[in-house]
Amino acid sequence: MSARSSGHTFTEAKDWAGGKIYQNVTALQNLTKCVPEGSGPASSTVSKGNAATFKGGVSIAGDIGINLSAQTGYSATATLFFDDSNPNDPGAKLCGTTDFPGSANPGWVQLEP
Amino acid sequence: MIRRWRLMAAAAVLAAAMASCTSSGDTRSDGPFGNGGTPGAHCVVAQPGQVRTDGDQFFQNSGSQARIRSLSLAGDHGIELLRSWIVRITGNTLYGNWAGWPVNRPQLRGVHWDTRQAAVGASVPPVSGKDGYNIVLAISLAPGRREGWARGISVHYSTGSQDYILLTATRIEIVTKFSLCGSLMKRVGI
Repeated sequence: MSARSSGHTFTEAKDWAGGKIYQNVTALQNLTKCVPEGSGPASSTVSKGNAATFKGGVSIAGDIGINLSAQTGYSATATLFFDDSNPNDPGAKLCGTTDFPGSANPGWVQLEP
Repeated sequence: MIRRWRLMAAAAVLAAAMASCTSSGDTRSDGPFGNGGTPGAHCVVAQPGQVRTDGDQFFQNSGSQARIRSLSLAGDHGIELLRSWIVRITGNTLYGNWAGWPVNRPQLRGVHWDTRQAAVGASVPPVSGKDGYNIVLAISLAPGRREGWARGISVHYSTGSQDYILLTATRIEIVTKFSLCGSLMKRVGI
């Protein structure tokens, strides 16, 4: 599991038949609640949410948004691995559409490079 | 007669002590700071002794004026809590997770670093709407450790005469190599 460059996100769905996908990020709309993840070599971060449901089980191939609040469809635990090690980068943000990631109802969650 | 007064005084002291114990023993987890959020984990890379700022925990106070009595890491192994603050949030951004000690970051709109309070003893007024409070920690990996983690942050607080506990649901994890994050998350779980 190697470090990833800024702008890419590696998504692993535990107990999900879709396996692992590594791709460019397509921005989601209305990402309103964000947690800065800093920058620099010590900012490699993993965020893991429970009760993750990937939209229809296939939309993860189109974007890497993870709906952490929906309870239908493919229930799984998801992990985002990212490494924003460019010291000139202001840093990535982990954002939710309805609330902060880790809250009771974050909505869709995505890493914003 | 004097002996009788002494017995009565001792009984009064004992009754007061028992009343005190009863009050402090009634700590509830369903308080106005909420239930700690959705279970999850957050893992970062740092070497032993290097300070990390952990600022991704947010809560609101839906009740009356509250005071934080203590704050500590819960179920912690190999991780040290150096300092902790409560920071008022009025926007859509938290302080976040950074290398080093926390500093004022004016680019984070709605993060009122200038209003920070030391977490222990912090006075927490009720908030309305989407405003709230950010728990900001300075933490480090303990000397000689390759990995450290905590189950969450334990916050004891009170409103009036009622004591509450908030246990945040996000695991805090620090490792010396990025490749250790995955295995640690599997072992610690969420």
